[in-house]
Amino acid sequence: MKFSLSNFDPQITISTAEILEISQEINRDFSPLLPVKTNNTIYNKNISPQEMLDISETISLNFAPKMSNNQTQLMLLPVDPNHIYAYWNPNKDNSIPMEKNDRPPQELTLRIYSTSPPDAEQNKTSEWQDVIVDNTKFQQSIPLPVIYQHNSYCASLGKREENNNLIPFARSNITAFTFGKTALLDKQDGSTLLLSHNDFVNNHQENVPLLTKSSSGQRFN
Amino acid sequence: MKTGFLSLILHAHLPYVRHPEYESFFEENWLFEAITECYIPLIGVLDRLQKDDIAYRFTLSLSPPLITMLRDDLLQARYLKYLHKLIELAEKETLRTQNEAELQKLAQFYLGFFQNTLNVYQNQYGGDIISAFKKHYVLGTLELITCAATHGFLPLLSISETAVRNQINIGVNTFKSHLGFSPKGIWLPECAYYPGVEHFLAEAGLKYFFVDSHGIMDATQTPLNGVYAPLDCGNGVMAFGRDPESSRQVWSSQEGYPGDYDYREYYKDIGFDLDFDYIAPYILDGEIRINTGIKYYRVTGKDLPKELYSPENALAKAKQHAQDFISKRQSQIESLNRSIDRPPLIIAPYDAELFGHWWFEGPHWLEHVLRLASEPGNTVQTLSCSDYLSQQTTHQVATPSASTWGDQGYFSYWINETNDWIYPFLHQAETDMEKLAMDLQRVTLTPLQIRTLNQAARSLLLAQASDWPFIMKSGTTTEYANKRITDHLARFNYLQDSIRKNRINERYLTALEMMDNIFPDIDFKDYNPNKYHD
Repeated sequence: MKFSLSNFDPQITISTAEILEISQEINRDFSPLLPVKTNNTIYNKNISPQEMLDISETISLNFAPKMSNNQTQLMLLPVDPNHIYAYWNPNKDNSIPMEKNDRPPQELTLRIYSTSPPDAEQNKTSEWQDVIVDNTKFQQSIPLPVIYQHNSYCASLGKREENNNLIPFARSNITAFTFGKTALLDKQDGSTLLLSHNDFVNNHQENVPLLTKSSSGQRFN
Repeated sequence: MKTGFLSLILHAHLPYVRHPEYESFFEENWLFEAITECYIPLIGVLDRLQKDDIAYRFTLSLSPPLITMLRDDLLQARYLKYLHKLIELAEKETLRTQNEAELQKLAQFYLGFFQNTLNVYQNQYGGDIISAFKKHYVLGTLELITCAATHGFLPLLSISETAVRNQINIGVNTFKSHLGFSPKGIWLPECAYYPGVEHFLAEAGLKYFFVDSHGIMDATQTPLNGVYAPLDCGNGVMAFGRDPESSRQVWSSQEGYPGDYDYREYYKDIGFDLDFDYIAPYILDGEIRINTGIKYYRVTGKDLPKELYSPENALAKAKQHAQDFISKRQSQIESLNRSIDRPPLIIAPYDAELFGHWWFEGPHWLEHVLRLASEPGNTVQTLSCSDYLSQQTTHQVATPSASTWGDQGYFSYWINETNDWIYPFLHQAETDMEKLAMDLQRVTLTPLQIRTLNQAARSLLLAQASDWPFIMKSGTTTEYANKRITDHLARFNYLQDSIRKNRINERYLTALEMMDNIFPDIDFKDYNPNKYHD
């Protein structure tokens, strides 16, 4: 049967735009919804979105993260073959002596020891290097200009005396990561170079001034 | 004759963006855009290959936040609303462009694309994308693998073994509860490996993972077969290395396929280009211009006026690029066969969200790569890493070096001046969670206390997602990333305080459970480090 033979009333004229509007309205209001699945153990307490939002904001206001004095005093984290990262909270137990102006010293020394884990366990260290850190920041990326024998570091934070002795205020964990020394660089001629990490960083910064990233840190056009 | 192997892996992940406390929320669009442009087109690829009886193997990693969101009824309902709105806009576009034949053809193309999306999502798979992927797993063509619980950046969490263990174990358990089987492999978040993580992978029953090329090349022993054979980490867990050439052909900002002039231009969207009053109902709160997904132009060329997109030309180019990719793999295999002691395995992993979202034609490229590889005339055979391990039983033993697939290859993208502030807080929260679990190990707890402790563990895990420091560094939606990590840490602090003071407000707890409803089976006792040492 043709549609025109049905109860369709051709006397009613409807514009294309009106048909579209009607179609969209029906889609909006009468689309079939998927059956609700219960995939967790939420306890239905009829909490409205507004109440959830209020609770979330109240909690964020009153319980925002702040550093406690109970945490480890000095922590080292690996970054790359040439850097480690340190954060500290050296005022636990008021272990840092105040200066004459009743303020903690602005500059502290981070003494980084290169050590293999067994050495560290026995508190034996082979090499060390001092880095001056800004005590007002409580965290800092630390370049490792000396290529140590091991990929394992620990550190002490303290005040260096004139004779190079360090009065330590905090000791760190041991960070023992084996980084490589190579990186891959895509060349314009299509080949791929294996470079030392230092050369890679220099080359990378010169040749690729702007890279965009995907959600996982890869680069793409 | 097949003389070498190609393993294509897509890593599918999005952070947990679910906001029932708002009627609508912009960041949920990340999921909706990925469903429309990546996951449904990918299912289309797999369905067409099945229909044509193509023999192939392909691997997809599904992160637990993504699995949970795809299975969430609130987000499913919101996605349908989003899709209907897109269809509405595409219909309006076919009218607006009626006097411009070429533009109208494109508007009709988008209308058809969105209507097909709706049909596949709603009618074919009843809104359950995970079941669509599982169908292909059961058919034996798709290998599904897992990821860490909230995509935590494991090397920077590794000061606590318990943190890493829980990221891995909860990732595996979430996968199992939704897919119904144990994953054999894992995609380490950000491809971030550190020596030692393999012990936790073995504990979780995982057989393999992936590292970037330099992770293999800088291993404790020189890799005899380069990145073209896996390394046994010494405990039977295998590390597969990314092939730099396959990577460059897709990812390179200078010569990668997605930058081809015939492909669709991502950055030219009608959400930004059309009259404000016209587009207002389809942008953020009717006020802020956003991408709609309707894009009429092609890449065209550097500094040239953009020309209209031609889907036909773009698809032809995708086929051409697939042919180029397979030809290069064949040459690579031919050359490698002369220098290594076993058939070479080329590992080609990519972000799933590149395919379709950023590179609109990516799914078609993938389809043709798999079709071409299946032809008997060429030397490449697709396979999964577990297939490979069942064929090759002897492997060189060496430990890869610490590495990621991110910018500069190590950890600096996730710890730098833009995001370093988060780590003291994350580590402190982890320590506090472990202390709670230890302190309460011999205490009889009420159901309400158990719920509170489990919710604290969820808050901790959500704070640990690598997405937040990534976004802070990339400078995109930094305000959102800052708020998310601060909110989750505040929720953790609140729940910890409730337990310590034994003052639990059930209404508050329930609201937090409704907002952060991930990992229903979590058990806070897994945060007791003694559990693993007894």
